[in-house]
Formats: sequence, structure tokens, C-alpha cells
Amino acid sequence: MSYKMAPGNDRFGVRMIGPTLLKYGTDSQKEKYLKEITNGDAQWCQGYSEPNSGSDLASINTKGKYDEETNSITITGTKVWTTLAHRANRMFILVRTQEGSKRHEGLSLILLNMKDKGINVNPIKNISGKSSFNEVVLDNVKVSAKNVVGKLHEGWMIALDLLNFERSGIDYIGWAERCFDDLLSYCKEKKLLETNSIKVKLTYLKSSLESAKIMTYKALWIKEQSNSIHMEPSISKILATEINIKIHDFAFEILNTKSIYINNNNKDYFAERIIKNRLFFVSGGILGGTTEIQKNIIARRGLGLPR
Amino acid sequence: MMDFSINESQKMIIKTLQDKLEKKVDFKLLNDKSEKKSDYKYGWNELLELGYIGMLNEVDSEDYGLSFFDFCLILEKWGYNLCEGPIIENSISGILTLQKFDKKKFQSIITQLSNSEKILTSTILEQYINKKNLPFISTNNGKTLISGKICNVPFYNESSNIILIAKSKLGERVVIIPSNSFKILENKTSLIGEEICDIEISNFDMNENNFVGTHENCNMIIDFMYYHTIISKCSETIGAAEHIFDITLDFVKNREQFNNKIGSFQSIQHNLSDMYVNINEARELIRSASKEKYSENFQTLSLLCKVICDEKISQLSWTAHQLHGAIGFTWDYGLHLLTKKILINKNLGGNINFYSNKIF
Ligand SMILES: Cc1cc2nc3c(=O)[nH]c(=O)nc-3n(C[C@H](O)[C@H](O)[C@H](O)COP(=O)(O)OP(=O)(O)OC[C@H]3O[C@@H](n4cnc5c(N)ncnc54)[C@H](O)[C@@H]3O)c2cc1C
Repeated sequence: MSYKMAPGNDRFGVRMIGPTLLKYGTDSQKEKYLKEITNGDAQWCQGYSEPNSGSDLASINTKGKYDEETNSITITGTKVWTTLAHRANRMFILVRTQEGSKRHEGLSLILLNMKDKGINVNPIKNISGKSSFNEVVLDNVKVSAKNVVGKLHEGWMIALDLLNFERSGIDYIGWAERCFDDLLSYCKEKKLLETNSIKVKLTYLKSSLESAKIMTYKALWIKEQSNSIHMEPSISKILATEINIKIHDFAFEILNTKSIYINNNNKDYFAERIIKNRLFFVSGGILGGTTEIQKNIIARRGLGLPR
Repeated sequence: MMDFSINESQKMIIKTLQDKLEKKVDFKLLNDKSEKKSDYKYGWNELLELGYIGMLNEVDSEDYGLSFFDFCLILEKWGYNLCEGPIIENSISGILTLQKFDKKKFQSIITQLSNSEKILTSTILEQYINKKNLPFISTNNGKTLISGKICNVPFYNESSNIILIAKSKLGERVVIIPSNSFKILENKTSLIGEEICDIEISNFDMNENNFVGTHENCNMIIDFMYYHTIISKCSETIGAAEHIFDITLDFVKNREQFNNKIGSFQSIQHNLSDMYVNINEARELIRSASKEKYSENFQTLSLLCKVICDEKISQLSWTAHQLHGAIGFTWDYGLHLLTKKILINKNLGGNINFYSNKIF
């Protein structure tokens, strides 16, 4: 779908909360939300990051007060960088539900309806001048405890598992492959393949693209094989991000001055797309856990290097 | 869904081989070999004892034999343990190629190659990229004669036969010729002590039994040998890289500076992560390519494997030296042997210009 640039692909639903609910959700959560996702009736967003909690996700501060009597949770706090919150009707949110808890303890993953009372969405302009992400302020938002995924106060591992679904995303590869194929056609059409340096550069890009693709498939495969923690999602996130940046950078270079105008009167959609995607991929190594954090994970959890 | 699993019998093959070979790795003796002070070699006999060479089967079969994928797993261990011997040359050019293209005619040679009564070496990597100076086949008084020179032939002294590309008026042919029909022009030694020869043949009288395949399928045979050899070399390279990685990981976990293990410094950790990422991406690409031998993508995939190895795995070996500090720069530590193995493989079979011309 990402290769074909199909609009309306809800990656937060299909790729993140969907597989997570399949694994940890109650029957009624599965019944309700998976149906919505597969029908394309929902747009989800992800409420993890907060103004002071980015890479250090375990430091989040958004509070959820559990009321035993009504079996409900009242949420207050601020989430930030929440992609598509302005269009979403659902949100999965990581909340500190156990009072006084520290770090990974006492957190819960909760499903929200964006129409719930007390949710305010404030768009934030991104690098391209458009608003793709938002600040989401939650002011005493009341939600049933039936919307907790897994057990109350025990959401950390589930939240991490969801991140691994996010990191092994095949759509990154779809974008990279599409850009590469279009770039190759462009080079053929303009007879640029006669230039050796261009051919050589394309060869390097193609080999990295293929290996990133294989590692993404492996990350997906390995997740099916066992529940234990693997390094493949982090590897594939690093590689897929890198290759997207490299391919789009090279396309930018090949297109030369064509790719520097915002209002392209010639309607050169390829050039427009390249600059848009190149700017978007500034964030590739940041969202879903930065490249540095993936390397920390590989080194410490994977290779057992000391802190 | 793609399948990345290694089955139980593959695990057993790899483990048995590793157990046998790791005892042989001795950097001191290998160093002596590269200084021509000894002839220390292992791998070939161990593989023969285990019977793996004779089990190689061109047709992938669940019931019998080793597939090309299995063979590549073996070669990873081969590279890891710095083995030396005509395993790739003999198996690819001999067993697999003859099984596929001329099984009937060469049945007895295939059997002899499988049990090491005969050993075949191949000149494919050298000749494929430089077809200008191929030996020439001519006819004279009803005789079919071959003459010419071939450079950089590996394992010539151990081989009983050589498979090579020759040129005739009608085009190229693949031929097998007894090694003792050649004369050595020059004996050379590689960076790690492997012997390589430049050889010459003059008016050797051939018959039908020297020719593999036909004029028509000659290019297919040559491509088959080349691309299988490229993947095999990459598997060997990835094995050497894994050994480098293991040594380096062990080193940074133990070496202390500033009262800390150097492996606790984040820049060192990120370098190790990068190495780990590169090994994984290259290994999975190579393994998947080795399973794709029937697909039309096989040739491109093989070249892409070589590109990844040439680019990222050679970089990895330099990083390993950097992380070792001065000790990695020494002769005795032995890291240089693995680095040199990777560099030698990098320079075989072509370069980035050659690959990019093939791919695009
Ligand atoms: C386009 C975009 C969309 C996003 N969408 C969402 C979303 O939908 N939902 C959501 O919850 N979040 C979203 N995020 C937020 C994203 O998850 C965070 O930006 C990310 O986790 C990094 O946090 P930070 O921005 O606070 O950077 P920081 O954590 O402050 O990091 C700043 C720099 O310091 C480095 N750094 C931090 N800690 C370490 C360390 N221990 N070792 C080495 N280096 C370190 C980082 O790698 C980075 O280079 C989005 C971000 C972007 C850019």
C-alpha cells in the first residue's frame, strides 16, 4: 500500500494497535476494534510522548486515577507530537495509573475515543509547513477500565511490544522501493544511466534497499516465532530509515534545481514528492524511538554491553 | 511469509563442523603460513571426513543431500574458521555445474570429485571479468588443440583438473583439462599465505570428454558458475566477519580504560551496534539469495550480496581494528588474518563498476 501510495492507510491501527490487541486484547476489545480497523472505519493515533518524555518514555507523567467503584480511570496530562490526532477518532495512550509509581512500574495502555470529553487537540506545524502532528491536552478524561489493554498498571511491556510492531514496519520499505523505482525510470528516461557514477550510486542504493527489505521481513517473521525480545525490529528500523534518507537524498540530487520549488508550475509530481518525502524522512530516525536509542537497545539488551 | 528458519539437521551440520574446525584455528600457525614458514591448512580434510562434499546436490531435495543453501551455511563456518582448500572451486564448478549441465557424460568424474579422488579447481572469477585473454581452441590436422595462459589460479597444486573458459572460432566453451597438462609460469602467495599460480597450456590435444555442455548453453554454464561462486565467497566473507565481530565484542567487554570497561562507552556501543546491523543485513541477504537459485532474480541478488560485502563488511573490519586500539594492529593478535581474508574476497570477481554495469 505504501508503494502504491494508497491514501488512508492507518498504520497506527493496522500496524501497531491491531497486532497488539490480537496478542493482548480482551475478546470484546478484539471484537470491537479489530473489526473497525479491518473495515477501515477507524483512524488511530498514538499517545506516548510528552513534552519532557521522549526517548526516556518511562518518565511519562500523564496521570490516570483509577476509581474502583465506577471501574473507570480519569486521565489528566499532555501528550505531544501525536501524529494525526487531528483526524483520529481513536487513541491508544500510555498513562501512569498507579499513584507514586516510578519509571516502568504502574503504567497502563488505554484505548480512548477522541470524542471523549476533556480531549483538546492543538495542531503543530511541521518542517513542511503543514500540521501532521499535535499536542493533545487531556483534562479529566473519564474512560472505562475495560479499555485497558492487558492488566491495569502492567502496560509497560505491552507498550514496548507495540513499539516493536511499529519499528518493523514494512511501509518504510514500500516508500523507499517506490522512490528507487521512480528514480530509476527517471534516470533511464533522461539517459542518465550512461553516467557511470550514477549507475554506481544506484547499485549501492539497491543493495542497501534489498538488505533493509530482507531485515524487515525477518523482523516480522521473528515476531511470529516467539514472544521474547529480539533485535531485528531495531535493526530493521535503523536500516529502513537510513535507506529512505539515502534514496531520497540521491533523487533530490539527481533532480537538481527542479526539487527546490514549492509551487511547481510544471506539475512535476515526482520532484514534489521527493522534496516532501525527503523532508519527512528528517523524522525517520526520530519517531518510534531514535536511531541512537535503537543502537543502545542493540548494544545493551542484544549484545550485553555494560551501562 | 518468508522463512528464515534453520532446521534441526542444518543446525546439526553447522555445529558438528564448528566443533571440528574451531580446534584448528591457531593464529600463530596461520601467521607462520602467511610468512611461508609453514603449510598449515585445515578444512578440506575435515569436510571430507564428515562426508559433506559428496552430499552436495544440485537439485534441492528434502530427502537427500545438501542444498546450495546448506552449502552456504557450511561456508559461513569455513570463513569463520579461516579454512583453506578448494571447497568452493571444486563444489560449485565441479559437482553442481556438472550435475546440472552434463551429468551423464561426467558421472564418473562427479563421483570422483565427491569422494576427493579428483579435485577440481576453477578459474571462473578471474576469467569472467577479463575475457580478453581466454585460452584459444583451434583445429589442426583433425586435432582439437588448446593453448593459452591463465592468471591467478587458486589451488592449482592440489587440483587434478581445471575447469576453465576457452575461446574458439564459434564462441566460448567451458572445458575441463587435467592440471598436469599445464606449466606453471609463476607461483604467488596471497596476503594470508594461499598459493596462487599463473599457468600456461600449449597445444593440448582435446577430445569430446573435455567439453562441458554445448556452444548453445555455454553462457548459461558460465553464469551458473560465476553467480554461485560469488554467493559462496560472500558466505565465506560473512563467516570471517562474524569471527571479527565475536573477537571485538569480547575485547570491548574486557578491556578497561578510565576505570571502566570500554564497552560501557556509548560511542563504542554504537560502533558495535553498527557492526551487528551490517552483519545481519548482509547475512540475511546472502542466505536468501542462496535460496533463490531458481528465480530470475538470482543473478542480480548475487551481485547485490557482493556489493554489500564489499562495501559494508570491509568497513566493519576497519571499525574492528579501531575498537581494538594498538593491539589490533599487531601481527600476533591475528585479527589481521580475518581482515585480509575479507579484503581478498572483496577483490575477487569484479568491482562496483563491473557489478553496476551488469545490474543496470
Ligand atoms: C514526525 C514525528 C512524529 C511523531 N509521532 C508521534 C506519535 O504519533 N506519538 C508519539 O507518542 N510520539 C510521536 N513522536 C515522538 C517521538 O517518539 C519522539 O520524538 C522520540 O521518541 C524522541 O524523543 P524527543 O523528540 O523528545 O527527543 P529526545 O529524547 O530529547 O532526544 C534528543 C536527542 O538526544 C538523543 N538521546 C536521547 N537519549 C539518549 C541516550 N540515552 N543515548 C543516546 N542518545 C540519546 C536522541 O537520540 C536525539 O538525538 C513523533 C516524532 C516525530 C518527529
